[in-house]
Amino acid sequence: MTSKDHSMTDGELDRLLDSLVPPEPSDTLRARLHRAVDRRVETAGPSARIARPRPTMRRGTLASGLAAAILVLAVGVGILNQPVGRESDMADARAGAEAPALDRAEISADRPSLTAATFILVGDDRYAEPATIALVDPHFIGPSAPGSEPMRAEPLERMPLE
Amino acid sequence: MSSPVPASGLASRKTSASGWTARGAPAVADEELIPLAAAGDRAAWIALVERYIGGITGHAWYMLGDQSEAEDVAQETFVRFLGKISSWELGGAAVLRTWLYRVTINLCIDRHRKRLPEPVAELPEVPDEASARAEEGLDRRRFVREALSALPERQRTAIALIYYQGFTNREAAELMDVSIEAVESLLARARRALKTALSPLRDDLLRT
Repeated sequence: MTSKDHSMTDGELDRLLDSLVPPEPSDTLRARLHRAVDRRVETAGPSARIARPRPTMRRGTLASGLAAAILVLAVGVGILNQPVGRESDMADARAGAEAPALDRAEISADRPSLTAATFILVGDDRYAEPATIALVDPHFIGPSAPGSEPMRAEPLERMPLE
Repeated sequence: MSSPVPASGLASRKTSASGWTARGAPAVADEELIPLAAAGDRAAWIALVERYIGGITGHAWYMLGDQSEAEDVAQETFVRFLGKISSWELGGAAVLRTWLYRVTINLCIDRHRKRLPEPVAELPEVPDEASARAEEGLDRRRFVREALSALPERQRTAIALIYYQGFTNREAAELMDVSIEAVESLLARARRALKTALSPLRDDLLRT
């Protein structure tokens, strides 16, 4: 290219430059870019949400577990200390006699504290009371966890031990 | 220096389905859209993409002369922006439009340098008049594009930013990290080189 012809005017050059129009961005590029923000939320968002609460959840789980264990022990010890202990019950069973009835009066006396303990354990007063009643009424089977409906069941027949 | 209006550029711009940039509706400033997009608002993100995708892709096309590569650069530019969007400093020194174009320019330079040796001030070989006429359907765009591609990198960048993207000389100087005088010089030399390259075809090119 050896031409030294500079006779082209600015206007003519502008006309030529105007003819150079880039293609429209493809729909594929648009779709990829439009989805990019979704991927960012899907990847960075959930990972951030999971990563941050984890220490709190661990501490909370540990605390809840300890509290539950203490309460279970407390309730268990309380029940075992009732007059209806396992040893006398077993002795009566071996003797083929009817097991003595639960000392309902004594349990009923402790019912408020048992109900409170059960409430703390299950976290729902709708189930704390039935759970305590279950101790008093052998025919009543209370729910073991929130979300289940209270149920009644036929009383279990006491089978004599061989 | 925010950009409350769609980015300039010759590429036609689609109207966003999000409504953020619907024609006839008041444009929402970038500073309002960025925090929404950072929070995962898809409509805000699409509005930002639609506002700049034409200009960014177009600029990359002028710089690289290849649509596929231009789209790769545009995607990389927006992905980088998305990576920074959560920490984007609103009202800070970085204005989105400027930032996007600066990244695009750098990515184009990287690609061009990897792809080709640095072009010297050698202009494309222009066919003689007879062969040009013999070539069926003289493609004006092709010659203009070849002449533009043959420009030194900085001259081409100046032409693309100022002529095609509508940046002022001062904005182009900021983007290219040179003085305004240097930009004016680059622009003048680029136009002179283009005239030289295209003048032999002037009659044919301007006939249609």
